[in-house]
Amino acid sequence: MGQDATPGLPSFTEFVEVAWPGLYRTAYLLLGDHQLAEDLVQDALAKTYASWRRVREPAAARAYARTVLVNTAASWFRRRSWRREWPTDELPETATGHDPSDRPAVVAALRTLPPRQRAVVVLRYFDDLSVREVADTLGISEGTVKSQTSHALDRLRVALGDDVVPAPARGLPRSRP
Amino acid sequence: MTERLTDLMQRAVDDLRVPPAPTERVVAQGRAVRRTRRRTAAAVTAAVVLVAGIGVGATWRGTSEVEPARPDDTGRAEDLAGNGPALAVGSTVVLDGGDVIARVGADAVRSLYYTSAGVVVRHGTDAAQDGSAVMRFSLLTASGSLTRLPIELQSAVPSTDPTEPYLAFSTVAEGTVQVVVLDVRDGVEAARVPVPQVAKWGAWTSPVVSLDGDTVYVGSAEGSVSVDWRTGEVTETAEVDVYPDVRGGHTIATADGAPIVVDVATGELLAGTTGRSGMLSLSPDGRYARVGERIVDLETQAITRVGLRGPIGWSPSDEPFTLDGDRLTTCSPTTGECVETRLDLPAGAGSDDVRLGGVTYES
Repeated sequence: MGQDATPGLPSFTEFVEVAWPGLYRTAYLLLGDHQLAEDLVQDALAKTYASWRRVREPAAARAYARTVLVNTAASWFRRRSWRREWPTDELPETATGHDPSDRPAVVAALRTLPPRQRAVVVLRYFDDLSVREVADTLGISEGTVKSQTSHALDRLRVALGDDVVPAPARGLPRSRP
Repeated sequence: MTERLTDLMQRAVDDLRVPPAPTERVVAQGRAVRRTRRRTAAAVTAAVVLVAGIGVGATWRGTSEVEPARPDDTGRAEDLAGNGPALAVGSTVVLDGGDVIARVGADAVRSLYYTSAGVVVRHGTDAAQDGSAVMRFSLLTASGSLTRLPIELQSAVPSTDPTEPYLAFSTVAEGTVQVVVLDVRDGVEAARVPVPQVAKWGAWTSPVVSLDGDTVYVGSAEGSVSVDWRTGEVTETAEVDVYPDVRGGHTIATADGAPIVVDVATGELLAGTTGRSGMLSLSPDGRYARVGERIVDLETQAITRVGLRGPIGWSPSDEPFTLDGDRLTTCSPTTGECVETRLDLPAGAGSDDVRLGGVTYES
């Protein structure tokens, strides 16, 4: 492939095989649609390929691919036609009557979030990134990550219920550092 | 506290049927991305001077490793919030379809340039574009802050890419053309690249440039060139004329007297017109072309009609829009549906004082 020259680094094709499932799951949670998730990951990995000669270690490659994925999603979200079609500002009325443990419930709840809040939640609570890592990935301040997380959890609490997203205890921080 | 949320998301994707990785398609697409970023044929490497580089420049400098945490090269994440049309009336600038309104002192606005960090406003003592006066530049962000940039230009034609926080322009120093890339977030030069290959460029004091991703296209009467401003690599570019306008790898050219849209990397014809069709305009990211009230999706070739009359601008998210008095009409390029908004604009302004984002106002 002409892209596999760095000693100790997996070939790009090996990287794609290893990174694809994780990126696909992140993309699915961000978008809530299989075909779009596949397209998003393909776009992100194609952009990673274009920079592959600069990669020196696998962790950087994974983080880079994830950053590209989130930013590619961001460019999709910028289109108003997209915003009309996918995310909705309308919250489900309450969690009553929902089974929050089923997949449609959590995916649907994520789709009620504005794009940046959704990205913050997925990166923090699914990809297990720290506040600092999320801030770096999204190119925003740590304070913004915290505030966006707080807003997102408030909305998810309405959609999924207190059992899934308990209200923060008074006087305690809402999110881990 | 959020363990159950984490658990739910994990379970939501645990039994997901993950399709096999389309490795061959990824590689093929990656090669196309790389070709767009950097055309290597007949390349002449020029010295690149990174001046106090920050942001992406610093990310790549010093180490050749991919850094994991800088999103800038694919569009800034702040744009997750999205943004609408920008326009100006006199010295009043309106962003995001009316959400942000600011004034650039006593100056008149001459042009608006979309960037990922906000809108760069070119302003001067009047709205003329004839090169008779010095032009000043300011960055207006989505939060409403207005910051002067440390440059003043006369007839040079600058350029931005709406997904990047940079303004590119050219200058001539001791007879040699230089491409300058300014980081509008702090006014610091990210790169200055000498381009001695360009010696004739028409009536402007320095060549017209067009910024598209990592590439600055430089217009030349003897064959335009593209400059990878991160590496200094200069490449002949057959598809771009003396007045380059490249967006998303697409540009407007002429065939038999009629404007057409071509892919800069491949020369592929993407959209054609008859000579009577009128002016072609590319959307900010190059996905759409507009002729009159027809919008062509260059990916799908679908044509949408929008009911707009008069000068038509583009929002940074590729929506055509017009301003009629205080009435802003913004349309979807895919459905043709339009939304009308009333703006609070200064009274008594004439149409000559209006500037729309996504429109070129150059002499």
